[in-house]
Amino acid sequence: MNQRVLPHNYLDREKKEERRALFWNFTASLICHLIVFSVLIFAPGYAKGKKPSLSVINVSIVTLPSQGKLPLPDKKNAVESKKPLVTEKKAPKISTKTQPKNVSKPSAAVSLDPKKKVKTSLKKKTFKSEKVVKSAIDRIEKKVDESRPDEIKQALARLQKQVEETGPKDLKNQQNIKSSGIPGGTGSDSKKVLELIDIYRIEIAYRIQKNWAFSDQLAGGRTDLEAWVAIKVMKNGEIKDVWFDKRSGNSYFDEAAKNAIMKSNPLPPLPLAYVRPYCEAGFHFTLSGIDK
Amino acid sequence: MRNCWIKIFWLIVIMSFWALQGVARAGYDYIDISHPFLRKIPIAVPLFKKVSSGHETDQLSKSAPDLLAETLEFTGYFKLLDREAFLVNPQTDAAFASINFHDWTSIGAELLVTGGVLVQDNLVEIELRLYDTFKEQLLVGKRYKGRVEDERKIIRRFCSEVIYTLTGDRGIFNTKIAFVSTGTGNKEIYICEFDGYNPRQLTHTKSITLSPAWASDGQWLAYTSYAKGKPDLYIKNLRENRSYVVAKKGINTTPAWFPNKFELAATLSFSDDPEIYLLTGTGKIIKRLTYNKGIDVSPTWSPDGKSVGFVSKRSGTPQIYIKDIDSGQVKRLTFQGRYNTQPSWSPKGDKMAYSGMENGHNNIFVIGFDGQGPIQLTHNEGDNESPSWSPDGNLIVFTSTREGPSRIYVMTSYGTDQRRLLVLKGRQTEPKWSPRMVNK
Repeated sequence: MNQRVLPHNYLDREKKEERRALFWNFTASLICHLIVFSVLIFAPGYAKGKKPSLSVINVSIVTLPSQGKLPLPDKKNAVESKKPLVTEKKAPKISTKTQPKNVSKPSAAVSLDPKKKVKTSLKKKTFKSEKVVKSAIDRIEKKVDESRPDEIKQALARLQKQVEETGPKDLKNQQNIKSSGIPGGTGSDSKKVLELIDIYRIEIAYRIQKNWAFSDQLAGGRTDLEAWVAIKVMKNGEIKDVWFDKRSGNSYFDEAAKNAIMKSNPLPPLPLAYVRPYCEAGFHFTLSGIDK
Repeated sequence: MRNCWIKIFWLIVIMSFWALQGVARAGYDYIDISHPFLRKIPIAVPLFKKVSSGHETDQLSKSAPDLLAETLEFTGYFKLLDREAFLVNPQTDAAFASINFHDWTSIGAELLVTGGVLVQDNLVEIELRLYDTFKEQLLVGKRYKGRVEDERKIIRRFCSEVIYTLTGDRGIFNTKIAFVSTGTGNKEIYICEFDGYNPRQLTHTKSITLSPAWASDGQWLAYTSYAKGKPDLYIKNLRENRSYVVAKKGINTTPAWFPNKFELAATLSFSDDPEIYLLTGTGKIIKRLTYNKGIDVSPTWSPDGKSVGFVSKRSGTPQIYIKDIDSGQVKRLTFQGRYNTQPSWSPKGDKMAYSGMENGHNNIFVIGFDGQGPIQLTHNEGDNESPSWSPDGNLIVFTSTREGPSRIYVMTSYGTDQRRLLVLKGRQTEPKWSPRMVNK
């Protein structure tokens, strides 16, 4: 009996296995999708990495306060400074707004007629084509009017807020701000601050390199050694933490790299405009220069 | 099913965290740092603490650290820090017993050697310690007792400990260098310490003596001498009054000891054609190694003894060839230059140093067996010849006419830190670095 039942059981198992396989395939694909979406949602770093090239406006936002701050330590001064800011960049756009508004009104009336007459004859079409073109231009201009003023207003509002927020601090630290040239920095959203922190990282890399002492003879003449080391730098430049993301496998090489970092402690303070309490930087130590 | 869904949920959560961790890691970019600013280890050697009083203690507390610094610097591994920059008075406890390592790291010292000197009745007791200043760790500490005259021996032993601690190799502090000098008006063989200290004349043939070669145990020295009017081979024991002579017809020259055996290769021309033969330590021929019409000279053994390098004119110009002893195959090693001679196989077995002529001047080259090179180590400074490796493979001794007469110089195997070893009357040529002396 058992021998007869077994093949049926086998078939059932096959079906079950097929279902299981389908189920697992489905769950695997679901997991992959979820991972991808979760990475996209929770890791804005990727999106930010691409955006800066598009968000040119951010650059102008940062550059504006730097020009405006030095003469504008007070709120009153800040209000005065808004006018030149607007006239410098957005004034031509505002002047165009007034003209299209007048033109747009007739275009709206014209646009209604063609719709009905297009069906009747081609002559009428060609006759009113200029008006159609005009109406199209009017529409585009309208859109421009609708969108750009908002952006300008938003930008101005941001500027106002920034000036209000940073104004009192500037009063206290006028000298520092003048010397640093980064007044009104808004932190990680600012491209200029990003550039500054990058420059800072390169500066500390140079300092660490100057403190890197390594005898290639002691490493047995090996030139293929590489170590990835990262550090956490506090606002005052103190190195709070050093860790290896990847060791070279040669203890002397790794120690020499770590010693170079420790010799550089303390590093210069972080840029004033850098809002975060600390900065992380990674260094890739190699011996590529030894052969040369 | 519920369990299954719970498992899936947790799997998703874990994988999401894993993925996010990877993203978080990429929060900073890596900046390349590829050129060490200093190719040596910064080391601080302050004056030693005087544990006793007296003139000898005063003297030793200064001369011993100076000698230690000098000896360590000779290796090419270290950069000695200027004592003027030290923040600590060596005569205080802070410099010896309880060390504030920050005082040393702040001036850039990665290593620190401290010492204390006690002299009583012409007996000296020196305690020496090596510290890693960043790890705040004692790496090695030794206490030596001896006579005041043993100062150099004590310092060298501790240097050997330092190098062993850092590299796992005993270094070169128990080695010597044999060379030819014309100080007496004749070419005689001399021997000095590895750093040029205490040179003394070994042979007194009053004729031409050439090509010294050390046996692996450092107890035998072979050389060629014209003492009997023609070039014969002499095999001399340096400790006992024993020697052997190979005086066959023609020339008997350029000896090279087989590694770790009482056998040596040499060029003999009793068959009218200079060929390389393998001989016993007593001078008996074991077998012929080269078979080619034309000159085959200057053998040099690979460290494992499986191959022998030599100079041959079989291709028209003197070039360096390598013969595999087992297979008998010979292959040419050097192709650049028209005059490549005096090969010296590196102790690690990976490179060959030789003297090559270019534009009428000889220079030292190194060629790797992995296809690297040749790399020219000496440039535009007279004639540079006769390279010989230190037993640890880090240094090369050679002769140079950069200051006029031929003198002996030392450099690292990368060609850096070239400096004169010693100054003697006459011209010095053909230096040969000894192996480590076992019972010194």
